[in-house]
Amino acid sequence: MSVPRQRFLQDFLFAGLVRVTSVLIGLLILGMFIQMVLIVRPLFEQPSAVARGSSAGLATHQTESGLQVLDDTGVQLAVTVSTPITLPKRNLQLSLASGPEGISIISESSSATVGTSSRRRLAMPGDLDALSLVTTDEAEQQLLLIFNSGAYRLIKIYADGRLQSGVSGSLPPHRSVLSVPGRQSWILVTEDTLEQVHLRFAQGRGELVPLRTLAIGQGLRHVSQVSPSRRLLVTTRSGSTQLWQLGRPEPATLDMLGSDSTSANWLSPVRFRVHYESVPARDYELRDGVTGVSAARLFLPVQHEGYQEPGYYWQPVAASDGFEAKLSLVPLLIGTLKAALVGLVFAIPVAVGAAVFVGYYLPSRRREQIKPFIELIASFPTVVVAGLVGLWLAPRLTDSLPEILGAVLIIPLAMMAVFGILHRLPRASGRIGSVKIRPLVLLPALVLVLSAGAVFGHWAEQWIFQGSLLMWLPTHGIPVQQLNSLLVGFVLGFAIFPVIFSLAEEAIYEVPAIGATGSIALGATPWRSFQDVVLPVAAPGIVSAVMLGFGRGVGETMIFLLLSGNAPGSDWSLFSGLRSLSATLAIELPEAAVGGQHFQILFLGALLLFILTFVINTCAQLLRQRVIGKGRVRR
Amino acid sequence: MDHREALIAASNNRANLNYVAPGIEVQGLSLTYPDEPNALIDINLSIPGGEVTAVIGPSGCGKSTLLRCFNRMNDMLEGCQYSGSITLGDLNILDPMTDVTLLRRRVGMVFQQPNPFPMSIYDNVAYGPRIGGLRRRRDLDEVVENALRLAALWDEVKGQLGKNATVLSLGQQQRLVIARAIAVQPEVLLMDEPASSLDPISTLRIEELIYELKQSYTIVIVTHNMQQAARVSDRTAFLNQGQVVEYDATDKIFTNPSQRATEDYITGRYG
Amino acid sequence: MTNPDMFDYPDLNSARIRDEKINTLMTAATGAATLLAVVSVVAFLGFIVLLGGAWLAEEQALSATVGQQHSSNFELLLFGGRELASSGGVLPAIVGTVVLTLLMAVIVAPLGIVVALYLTEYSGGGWPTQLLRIGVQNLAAIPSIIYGVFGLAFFVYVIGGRIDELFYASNLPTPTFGTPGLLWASLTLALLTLPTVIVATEEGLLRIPSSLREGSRALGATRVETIFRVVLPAAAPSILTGIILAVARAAGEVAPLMLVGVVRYAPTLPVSIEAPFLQLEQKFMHLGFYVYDLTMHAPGSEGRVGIVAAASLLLVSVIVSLNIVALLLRVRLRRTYVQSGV
Repeated sequence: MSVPRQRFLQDFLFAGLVRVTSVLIGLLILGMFIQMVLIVRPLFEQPSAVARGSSAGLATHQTESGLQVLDDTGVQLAVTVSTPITLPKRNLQLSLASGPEGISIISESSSATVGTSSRRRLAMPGDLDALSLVTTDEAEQQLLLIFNSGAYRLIKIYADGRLQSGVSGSLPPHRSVLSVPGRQSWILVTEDTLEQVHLRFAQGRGELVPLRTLAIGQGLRHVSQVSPSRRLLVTTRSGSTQLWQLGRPEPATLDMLGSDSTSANWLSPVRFRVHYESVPARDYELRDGVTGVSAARLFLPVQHEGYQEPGYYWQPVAASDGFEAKLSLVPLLIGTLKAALVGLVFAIPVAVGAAVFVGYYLPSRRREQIKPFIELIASFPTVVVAGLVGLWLAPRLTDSLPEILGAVLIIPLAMMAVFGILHRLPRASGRIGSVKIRPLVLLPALVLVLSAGAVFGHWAEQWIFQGSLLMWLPTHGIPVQQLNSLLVGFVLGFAIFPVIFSLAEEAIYEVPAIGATGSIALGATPWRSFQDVVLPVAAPGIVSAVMLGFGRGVGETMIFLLLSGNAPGSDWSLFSGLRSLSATLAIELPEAAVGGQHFQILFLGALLLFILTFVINTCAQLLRQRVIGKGRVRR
Repeated sequence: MDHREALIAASNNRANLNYVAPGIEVQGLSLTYPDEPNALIDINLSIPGGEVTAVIGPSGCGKSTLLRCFNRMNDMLEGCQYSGSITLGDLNILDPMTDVTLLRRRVGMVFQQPNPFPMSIYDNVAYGPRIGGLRRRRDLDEVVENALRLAALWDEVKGQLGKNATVLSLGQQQRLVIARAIAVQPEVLLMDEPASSLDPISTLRIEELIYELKQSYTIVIVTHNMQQAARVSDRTAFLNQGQVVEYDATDKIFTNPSQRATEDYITGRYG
Repeated sequence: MTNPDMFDYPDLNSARIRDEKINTLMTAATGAATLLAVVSVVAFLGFIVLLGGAWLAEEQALSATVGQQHSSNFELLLFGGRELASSGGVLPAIVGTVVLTLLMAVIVAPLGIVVALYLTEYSGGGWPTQLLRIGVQNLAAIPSIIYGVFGLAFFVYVIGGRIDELFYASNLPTPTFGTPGLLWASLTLALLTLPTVIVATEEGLLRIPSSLREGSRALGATRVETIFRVVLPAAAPSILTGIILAVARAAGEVAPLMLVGVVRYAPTLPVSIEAPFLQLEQKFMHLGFYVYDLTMHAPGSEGRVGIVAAASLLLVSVIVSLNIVALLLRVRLRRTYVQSGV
């Protein structure tokens, strides 16, 4: 009896194996989604801090409270400057001194190679003691002086050390100034508000303009310096502590710090020390990975430091220390959608037209020969398509754009004419509805037509665009790049049209022929039968095919990487480059620090892409199922 | 005289005057497909107008193919070649220059499977007149009602003309398809096993309908049901392997066939 | 009067003529679209073959200038030269691609077959099955780059990181498995091609008449015996088709690999004739990435088109032949079942 038992056990174990594996695969699929959500979640959480021990002996440091003046590295700057400011980028040293005229600025250029040095001096009115900030901008081309009274002055620094007094203006009076990393904006500390001002250049002239006001709400007691990740801690008169992330309109109130703090200061980008009135100072650390990026910062226009006006910018990695990260996902979404839509415009006419012809007009035997052939393109690696187009076609395309446009535009017209003639011919020999394909007749015709189109395009360029389309477009306000949306869309269309064709053809072919036959037997033309009887049934299937094609286009990566230029822009122009979500993931994810803000935002991008394709796919599937359901009723 | 008057005149003709639909003359008809070189071989038939002619024979004998020659539906198959001639009245059906669209208005067809279009009952019946250019709602109403009455479906569907035709029962669908075919006032009605997918009661109603219609239409019916052929037809043609074995009055075929093969088939010895 | 005079009316004729015109136009337009589609496939294939073939046939196009000794461009492509971006030539990339896809096939085949078996043979068709089916369907529509993202975050950082902590703690902080590599790339591709295998296998399983299963069960065979002796052998061609299609798809994927382990240049191959034969944690080169890299970064545009086309020709011919084999298998399969009347 042991044999049956063994067999039974075998059966049981295999069934278990199958079930468990399937469940695991199911969980893995679910896990893909959940994992992304988990990684992305900290982006939107309110920051909070965890205590890291109290430093009892340091209670005396309470004397730190009070407002301070800092330079851009956070080190306190003596107001009466005697130590020179070094400008490493310009090979210069600046020092300030009180002189008879007011303030004199002395620049000293030291050329290490020649070993000589030259001194220049600029005098300006003002009181050295009333200065609240002396700094240069990020490029070290402007020296900025801000006075307590709110007056400021920009001084242009030339390469040879020459100084020239530039724009001056006035800001609100304040007690002190905080530098924001990146030396493009500063925070003026007044009695009870913080005013962020930024250095903006318009037509080569810089000026200092208000950027935003950090509304503290309660009275201001103490402000920390700005951390490298652009956060500052504000202690209010009521003793509570606010954490401000520059760029976010609202502060996070750190309730866990208690309500009798007197000051808070950064020890490291995530650690800080809080001093209290009654208890010893304590150290805290911000919770890991929690960055607190608001949705507004990712999807709405943001006014960035040094920029003319609010806009959408994607520049997540600092070009230099303290550079403000620009995290708008809008350019990536626009780039992705723009190219996918252009791709659809190219793909739909060919794909759906061919689907109707192959699925409806062509006899079954011909269909079985042609369909797999067209579907072969779907299996081409897109990297190959994009690579060859990028290396070979793109340069030629820009050289002879009008000729090619002419040829492309004339193709449908001419082919319709050719087919019209062919369609007339077989009718005379007693056939309707079936068209013979005669490649040997068509190919020379095609060549002729293409040449005619090219000549036509060339003429059109001469006449309409005054000799050169590529010169004409930019002069009419449309900048042209070699790797542009039109090119990406064209190649994307080539990559997605077999997908649309295959599914749409299936939808048309699956409609029982008997309906169209009945209509033809009533004297309707084949097209009328198609339009009245086949199309209403097949339409959802065709729409679903187009949607799936769109989904494919949105998620395509290699074509975007190689042909889009990868420059994030938020315009809808067809002649400019773009950057897609998928290409951004491929380029930036391998270099992003695991668990950092950039990493999380990239995962948010991946999640968006995932959800976008998931929604498109689900809608398409539902539509298809409606088709199948209809087919069943008919049978 | 406009289209509407023409349609009404045509139906009045049929109802009141001694109108007789034209017959079909088949002479030396042969038909080949690439796959089947002898689909039909030298068929000669004289189908009288205003009568019901049944075509019987074992499956694959070419009876449906023959029927589809009468409205040139075989044209839709690739590589199909005709020889010989078929005339309907003064029209040469197989002439390459014959306009098949017009031909198909004169020769209506009903298929084995009811194939209502995916639209309302009304639109199904109005389909033929509409593609013929009849647009006025009142005229269409009249044409639709007449056709449905003629097809004995009016009383069953008059309250639900706007409903999708696919909700009807199979028997009703088949009568709807007949109504759709006669709405364009054809002269000939081809029926390809019209009752083979229906239950006995629906079959009976279709047969009654054929009997009603035969005064105004020349009807050619293909059937594999011997009793049906005997019940509804005036003349019967027996086809085997693409050839006409015997063609005679139905009574004669079923009681006293002149060919041995016919007798074998009718008595059920093969087929 | 034989004809009731209804065909002579102008409105009828004008409607008919308009319909005929539209029909001609639409036939022409759709036919033109089909022709365009076919021509574009021919043109693209021809383009690769001509460009790549011409370059391969050229003698010493690049190497003569630097004095490297290669008898033909074909050898140059395989073994490389200083002129090319990746000094190793394309051979290591071919080896990398082959090892990667084979490893992927070994992983995806059993998983795909088991899930298909569950869906057709074991599940009761309740909501978990429906959910799994929807999941698999959607898996097929997810962009490949998302698989790369998932592979990086889950396979590399979560699983790889854990493996390092447990088994390679002495090497930390230098990661062993906690960094992109061959194993993770093949797992990622396996997940990517899973729906292909599942769908093809399921199709094959559903085609087998239930009488076959019932016959086997009636003879006293258990379910697992029926599956292994009757069902799987009968479905083998379908399963094979699925695996071939999966391999063809995987061989052309580059985007996810960029996140989970492909590199421009790997100093050693991931396979060797000595134990342990297969270096699962190593980074590897890949033909598709080679094409990408040459297009994107290689210096000097002269000759680049030729070598990119030649490498593309290599990749495309493998993928196209795999697809044709799968297509022929499928056609034969359909014929067999049509003949046996199933």
